[in-house]
Amino acid sequence: MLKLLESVGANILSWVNILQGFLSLAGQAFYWIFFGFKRGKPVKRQPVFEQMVFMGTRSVVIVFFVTFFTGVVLAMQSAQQLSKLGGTIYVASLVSISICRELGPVLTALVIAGRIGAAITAEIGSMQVNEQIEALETMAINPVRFLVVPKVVALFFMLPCLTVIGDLSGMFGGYIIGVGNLGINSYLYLQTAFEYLTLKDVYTGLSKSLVFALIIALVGCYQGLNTRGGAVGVGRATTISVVTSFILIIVADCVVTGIYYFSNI
Amino acid sequence: MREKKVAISVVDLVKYFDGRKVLDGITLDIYQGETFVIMGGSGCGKSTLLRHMTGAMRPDSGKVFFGDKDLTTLSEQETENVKRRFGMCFQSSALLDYLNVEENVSLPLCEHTNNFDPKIISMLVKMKLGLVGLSGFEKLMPSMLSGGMKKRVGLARAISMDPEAVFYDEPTAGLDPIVCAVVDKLILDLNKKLLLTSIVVTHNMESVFRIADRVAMLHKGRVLQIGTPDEIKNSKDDIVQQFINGRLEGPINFSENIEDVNFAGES
Ligand SMILES: Nc1ncnc2c1ncn2[C@@H]1O[C@H](COP(=O)(O)OP(=O)(O)OP(=O)(O)O)[C@@H](O)[C@H]1O
Ligand SMILES: [Mg+2]
Repeated sequence: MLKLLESVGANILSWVNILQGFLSLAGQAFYWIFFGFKRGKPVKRQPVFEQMVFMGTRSVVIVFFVTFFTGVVLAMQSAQQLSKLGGTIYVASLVSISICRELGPVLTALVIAGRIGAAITAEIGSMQVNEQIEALETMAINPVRFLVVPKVVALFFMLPCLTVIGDLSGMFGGYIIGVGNLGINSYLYLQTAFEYLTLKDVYTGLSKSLVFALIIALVGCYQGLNTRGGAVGVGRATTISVVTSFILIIVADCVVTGIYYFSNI
Repeated sequence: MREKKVAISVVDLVKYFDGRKVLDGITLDIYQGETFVIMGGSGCGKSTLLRHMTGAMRPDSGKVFFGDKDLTTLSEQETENVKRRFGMCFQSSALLDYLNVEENVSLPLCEHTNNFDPKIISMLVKMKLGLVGLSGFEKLMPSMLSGGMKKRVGLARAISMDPEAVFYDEPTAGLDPIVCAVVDKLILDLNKKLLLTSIVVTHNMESVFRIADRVAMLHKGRVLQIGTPDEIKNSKDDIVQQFINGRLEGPINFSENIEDVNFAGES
């Protein structure tokens, strides 16, 4: 019994430790982003752009495919139900609203967590086990400023862009089914798709993706910086990073949706 | 004898890892311009001692002076300023592998100076690479270099900010005897040309006697003996004798050493 309590206590303690480390990393990153110029070290543009190009080119195709086929599936499944009610045309607005509000941002974020979050952890983790992080510190180069900040800033701008691409390709998937299979007039489909889509649906989705971007980048960097134990450790850290990001993305999705739901913004 | 100025001074340094004493009251002075070698068995705390001297770790008690600054009590900003005054060569070279040789060597310059003309930077890089005998390798990536070449690029990076002192963590580990000799000669050359203070951690007895002005022998987190290479060679201490001659029998018992090593920290 005592043993059980002990192990539960130890577990809680280690979680508190992790949370503390994570928050301190986030704090440092924000400090360097907003107050770095005070120390003569503002955020440099070039590394941020490099990261954005790297992140964008690496994931645009996979984002397109995932959301496109989700749009297709969504259209096919809702068509069956809606045709019973004689409202096949509403497939258009159903697809566009659910993609823009929910599926586009979340699916894009999950794809990016698997693609970019893992890459971030693997890169920083292998630098950690090869003494490279320590070398940066010895050269008086702050690793958070040098490595973490460009990645956080780049993903913060890149994920909404990718989300827009995801939204559009998801709606395109719906359009293909609606026009090609259900025989809805192309013009009518587009009109219905955008008629019920409010600006709020779009910015709710995009604001979510900003939160997801911070989660993915910071979790990836945190796991990378805390990698121990050689190549095996890098693999383990990468897995943990992706799993943690997935869970946090879903939780954050719920929280943000809740905020919008209850506050009627 | 010429009056010698102390460059780095370590006073009664104690460090615990998970309740295990790894450094147990280390005291030593390193003079300006000398080549100071730290040797000792694996796991006796040499790298840990080096990390304390570079300010990468804080001790549990004791002090480390670099010039007149106490590294153990400085603020983050002041520590950064002190860190710019020395370079470090890592056991695994620790080059950033997504940057080429030139970018690696110029990294400290680019990070610590604002709007330096790229032409000047590339000239400085050429000069440093020339010093370590690697001119013309600017555009190669670290993954294309051999271990010895990486070590030398690491060395060029360590001296890129014109430091007062350079720390070397096992600069010759894993290199063939000839490259070892080359690296040793490089350490001596730089020491003379740039008037550096060099602090070298090594296991390699040949290089110890080739480069050292003075040697410190570490054992179980304590300094056993400090002296010139000759004094060490003729030491009366059994442990020192066993170590420099690489004998199996003697006061250092291998199985006893294994028990000292805490594997939990490694996993
Ligand atoms: N960050 C750390 N956390 C916990 N224990 C550590 C840490 N760093 C080193 N140790 C332990 O401290 C002891 C000394 O390590 P150190 O790396 O200084 O040895 P060393 O003399 O450099 O050995 P080698 O010659 O093999 O490089 C080892 O037993 C090691 O397990
Ligand atoms: Mg070592």
